Amino acid sequence: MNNEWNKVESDKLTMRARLRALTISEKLRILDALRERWLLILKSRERFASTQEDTIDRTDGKR
Amino acid sequence: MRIQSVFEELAVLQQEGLIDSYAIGGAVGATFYLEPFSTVDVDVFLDMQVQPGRILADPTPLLRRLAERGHRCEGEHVLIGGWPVQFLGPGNPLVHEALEQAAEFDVEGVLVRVFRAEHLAAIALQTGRAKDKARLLQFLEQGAVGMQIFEGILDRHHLRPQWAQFKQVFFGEEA
Repeated sequence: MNNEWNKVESDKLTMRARLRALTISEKLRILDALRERWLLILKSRERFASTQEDTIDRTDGKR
Repeated sequence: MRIQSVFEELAVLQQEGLIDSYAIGGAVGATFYLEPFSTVDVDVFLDMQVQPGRILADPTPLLRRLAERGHRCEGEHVLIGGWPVQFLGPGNPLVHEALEQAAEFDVEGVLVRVFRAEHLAAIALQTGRAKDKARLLQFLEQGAVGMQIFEGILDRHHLRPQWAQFKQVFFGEEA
């Protein structure tokens, strides 16, 4: 278990070192990609929330 | 989605004389020194007059020009290249100094002003939220700050007590 945990920690540090070594332009493109993903998550949440509202409305017999 | 558009737009505003000096702070600023951080907006600090007790600058002429250039406002932000951008005044002497002494980076042919790592770290210490403390730890652990410069900033801006407390909590050092 400890070995697995150490491996995870070691991989994480390696990945972070690789990210730090990127050029600024590359890092900024990652920021763009992260924001796009975040917007997709927000849209999914909104869609899910509206579906839930529909369900509640139907349960209440309002539709 | 293109954060580079924000820098290009800032360069245009500078050329047009609408903004004097500016600097990028927050998570986007930290990305210049550390690994990329997920963030919801871009903090742009401007050397503008701010009403006492407020940190938001009055960006009316700036907003008007940005609207003319096709960027729309969303609450406190202006959407540029798909990114919400917040324009802020210096707010306190530390941020004012950070703005004055900002570093310049050439990003794909555009000159971008960014707070220095030591100022970003000191601002994180001063702000003191959980995410700021986490970022300060990253700056320190990754050796991204010059300690002599950082400690000079702590002295000038009376941040020694916060620094002692931070070291005690995170490094187990006695104050």
